[in-house]
Amino acid sequence: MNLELRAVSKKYSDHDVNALREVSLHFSSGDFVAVCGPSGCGKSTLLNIVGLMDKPTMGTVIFGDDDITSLADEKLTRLRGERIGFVFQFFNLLSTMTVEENVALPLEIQGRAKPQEIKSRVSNILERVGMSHRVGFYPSQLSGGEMQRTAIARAVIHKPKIVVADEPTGNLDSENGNLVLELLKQLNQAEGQTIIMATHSLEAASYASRRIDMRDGKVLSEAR
Amino acid sequence: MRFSSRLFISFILRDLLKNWVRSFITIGGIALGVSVFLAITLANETALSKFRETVDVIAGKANLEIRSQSGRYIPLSYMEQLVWLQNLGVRFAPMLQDTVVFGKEGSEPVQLVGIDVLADQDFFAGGVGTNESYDMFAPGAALVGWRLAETFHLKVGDDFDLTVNDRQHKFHVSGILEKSGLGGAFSGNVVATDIENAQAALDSVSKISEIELIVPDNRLDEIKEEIQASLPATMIVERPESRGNNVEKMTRSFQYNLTALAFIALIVGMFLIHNTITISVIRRRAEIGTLRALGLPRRQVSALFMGEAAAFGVLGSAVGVACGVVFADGALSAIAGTMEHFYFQHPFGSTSVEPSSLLRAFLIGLVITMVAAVPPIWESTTVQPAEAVRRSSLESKVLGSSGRLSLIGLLLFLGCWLAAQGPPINGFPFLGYLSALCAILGMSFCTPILVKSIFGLVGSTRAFRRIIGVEGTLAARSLYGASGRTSLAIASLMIGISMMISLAIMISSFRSTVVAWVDQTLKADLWIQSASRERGSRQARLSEAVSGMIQKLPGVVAVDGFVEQRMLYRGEPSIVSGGEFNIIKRFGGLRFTSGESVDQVFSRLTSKSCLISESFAIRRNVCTGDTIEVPTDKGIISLSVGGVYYDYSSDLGQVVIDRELYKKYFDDHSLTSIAVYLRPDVDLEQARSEILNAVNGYSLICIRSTRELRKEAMRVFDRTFAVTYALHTIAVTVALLSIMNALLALSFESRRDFGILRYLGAQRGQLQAIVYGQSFLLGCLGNGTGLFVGGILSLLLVNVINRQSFGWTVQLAIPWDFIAQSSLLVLLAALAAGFVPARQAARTKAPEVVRDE
Repeated sequence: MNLELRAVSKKYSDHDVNALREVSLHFSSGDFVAVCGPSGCGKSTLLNIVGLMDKPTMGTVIFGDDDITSLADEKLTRLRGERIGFVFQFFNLLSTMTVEENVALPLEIQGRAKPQEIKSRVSNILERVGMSHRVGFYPSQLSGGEMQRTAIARAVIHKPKIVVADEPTGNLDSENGNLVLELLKQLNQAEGQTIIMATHSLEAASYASRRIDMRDGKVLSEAR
Repeated sequence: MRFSSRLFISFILRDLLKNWVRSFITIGGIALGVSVFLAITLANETALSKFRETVDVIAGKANLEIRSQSGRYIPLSYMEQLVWLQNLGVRFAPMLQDTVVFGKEGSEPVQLVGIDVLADQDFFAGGVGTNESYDMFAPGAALVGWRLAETFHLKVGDDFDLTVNDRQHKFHVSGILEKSGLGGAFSGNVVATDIENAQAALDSVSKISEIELIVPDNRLDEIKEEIQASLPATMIVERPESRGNNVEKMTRSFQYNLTALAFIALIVGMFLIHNTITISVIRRRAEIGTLRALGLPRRQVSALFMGEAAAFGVLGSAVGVACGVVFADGALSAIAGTMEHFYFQHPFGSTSVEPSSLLRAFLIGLVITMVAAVPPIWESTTVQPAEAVRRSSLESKVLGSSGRLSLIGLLLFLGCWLAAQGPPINGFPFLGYLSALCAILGMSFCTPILVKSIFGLVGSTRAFRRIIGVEGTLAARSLYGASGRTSLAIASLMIGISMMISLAIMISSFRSTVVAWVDQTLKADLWIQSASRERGSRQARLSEAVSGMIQKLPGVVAVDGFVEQRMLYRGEPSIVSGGEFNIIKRFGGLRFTSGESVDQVFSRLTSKSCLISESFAIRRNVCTGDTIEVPTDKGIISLSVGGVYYDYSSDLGQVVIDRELYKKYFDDHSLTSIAVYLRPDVDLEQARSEILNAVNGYSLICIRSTRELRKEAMRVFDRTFAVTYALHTIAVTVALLSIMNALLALSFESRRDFGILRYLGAQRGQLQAIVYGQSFLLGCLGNGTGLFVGGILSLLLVNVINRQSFGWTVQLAIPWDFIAQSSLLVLLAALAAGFVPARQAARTKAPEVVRDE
């Protein structure tokens, strides 16, 4: 599924900061995009907008064939729940839920899948990310790499069209970081999911098929 | 500014302002607790202090008084036997006083005081205090209290009526008493007249109620002993203030129990502050760790949080004191009816606010707040800095130690059972209250394990998850994860609900017991009392002749004249009564604690037997077969106790003797009430009008049918417990504030989780549903534990506290409909408490909170 930003700007009125300035980008189905740049360049804001977590102050967001810029929160949330998956730097697993429960959460929230189906999908995805031996563990009982693999499983359990990853290796050692990136690449290649990843790391960026460099809320360069 | 002050401002005060809703709730909770406690304390103190003021004012400079232990009056002739005192420099004067009713129709109780106008003015503090020249010797001449004059626009020269017993008497205003001196007695609702006028009005010629004595201070004790030695055993010489002590003794159980109830709101408030400080230290645990890691001593960290508690305590107590003063008048009027009906009559007016009472309430609020804050502060500052930065370590501790805490809880339940077996101490059920406290604390200590087990089960069992959905599961999980705070919120709600349920069960049991008692004992068809008694003068009497007049009427089968009056039994205020034993035997009307029939009990009565009420038996430790010594006008008589009967009309305890015996030993032939038994075919209304016609012009009476009397009895009952309902409503309100406080903190704490859920596609409504799920689960467990503890407390109230305080056996009656309704209401209120936190949750700015975390 294509995603396009047309001259998108984002201004945080309470801080009087222009986080994005007339950014136009096109993401095609199956892209693995690395968004690079220093802190404060607008990476996270860009990810929030492409992840449908935030709305631009100006410009247009086209999701598939639809202009979703002014979509109501409820519809935007539903779209996000169905089509987007998130991976965070600090994993953001719910501490009171087991690995299995954390991974099942997007399906549970949507409330469409039957318990048996959820169970089977969770089991499959955990198998794929190599976490099936930690099903009943709580996040506090996992290593950083395991937590991120669980988070990736959670991000893709509902087969989203786009996976948004914000510094997915930023809190991992290089070995675990590489494992996570390999996993994302595998998912991208096997499922054809679009992966948009913000990163400081050149090594991480090298896993992507396309690289976008940002400075001061603008796209500085794009390279494939 | 010192570093510690700067740190307090930046670390504590700014946080309090930032979290103003939580601060507001906490201060509100403390304020409610303190205000209720103060209002009840002020009302209680005012009731007694007004009585004492009247005693002081009427006594004037008298430092001793001679009274009868057996009743209201002593013979005036006794004054002659005191002539010898004059040689010792003792001055003395007679006084006659009683409560009467102002006017022909009204119901304004007034103290009629008969004074010896020629007596030394020192007997009336500040003089009689009138601003008019007056003539007290004219028939019907009277000085009128300032408030009475104000209320009824009386001026010198006006005539007015007093309804005294079953008659009306005309008086004439010869002067208005100022607020000082005698005019201040009875809050200004006083009529002072010459003693002969008073004797005539009270139909007590040659009788007085006391002799006031002014004894040289340096020989007071010695002369007191000499006077006591010269007096008959049934008369007593005491300082005037001892009358206040007697009233205090009479009302002690009522007042202590009321204060104990008011204290519960404070205890619930204590949980609220404990909860708030726990939330505060948990939320700021990482910052505490940072401060500790930066070298801030443990002592200073403690001081910071104690400062926070003190800020809550000072503000909450100050607001509570201000509100308490406002509520006090309401509390006084709520208890005034009960005081007047059961104990003593006095116009209470508005509450007297003593600075010492305000200070005491303020300090209690502050100290309770500080004490409640100590455990969480102690815990948070004693952990190592490395541990402190881990937010979840305290919650993990609570979860981990839930087994040990529940063991303490079970030991407290054991303590509850043991304390319930103990006897009253000085007539007050201290051990009963200790037992109740053990039950409350026991369940509080068991709450963490319940939270762990129940919410763990609800959050992880598939069957439950299918029912409650992902929102319910997340709600249960978050409560499980915050077990410490969850347990405290549930414990607060548990206390409020347990109090509400226990009081409801107690009141329902008491009510149904009284209804059954009224049904079983009110056997007569009509009940007669004097107009004055009907209109508020509790001690007013009827002429004995009325009984004879009614007896002669056609259709009347029997007439039971009953008389009762206060006496001092072994120094304790009690009641002695005279009833027609032959009529009681014939018509029944008494239920005995032994389960025996009236015939069985009466068959063993002798001419010197008495019956005693259950309160008298329990509170004076007397039982059937014992011999008691009762003071009478003719000396002390020994009476054998023939039976103990159920009686809920007074907790002072009553000794009933046959009226013939009463008349023989008491110089009193008047009656308090008359029960009339009619032939079954006689129409009640017709009989009523015939009785009124028969006594017309002779006696002013009021007649009630049994149905009307029953209705009145239940009205008095409901009025007595009205204040109780108000108190438990306030306790539940404080408990709900605690729930709201916990939910606010939980929703704040859950911001990150809510943010993640938003990323995962959760709608705002789903986040609200999670918070409402938390509210519902808190409400359910709070209600469940509250019902359980409420059941225990109701058993304690009915079988231990009530019995030891008032000497009444009450049959347990559970108001299932009330319990169902209140449970529903509590759940709705708990959901309502989730409204603000749910809105906060729905407004979670996911990117911000996830990034911040």
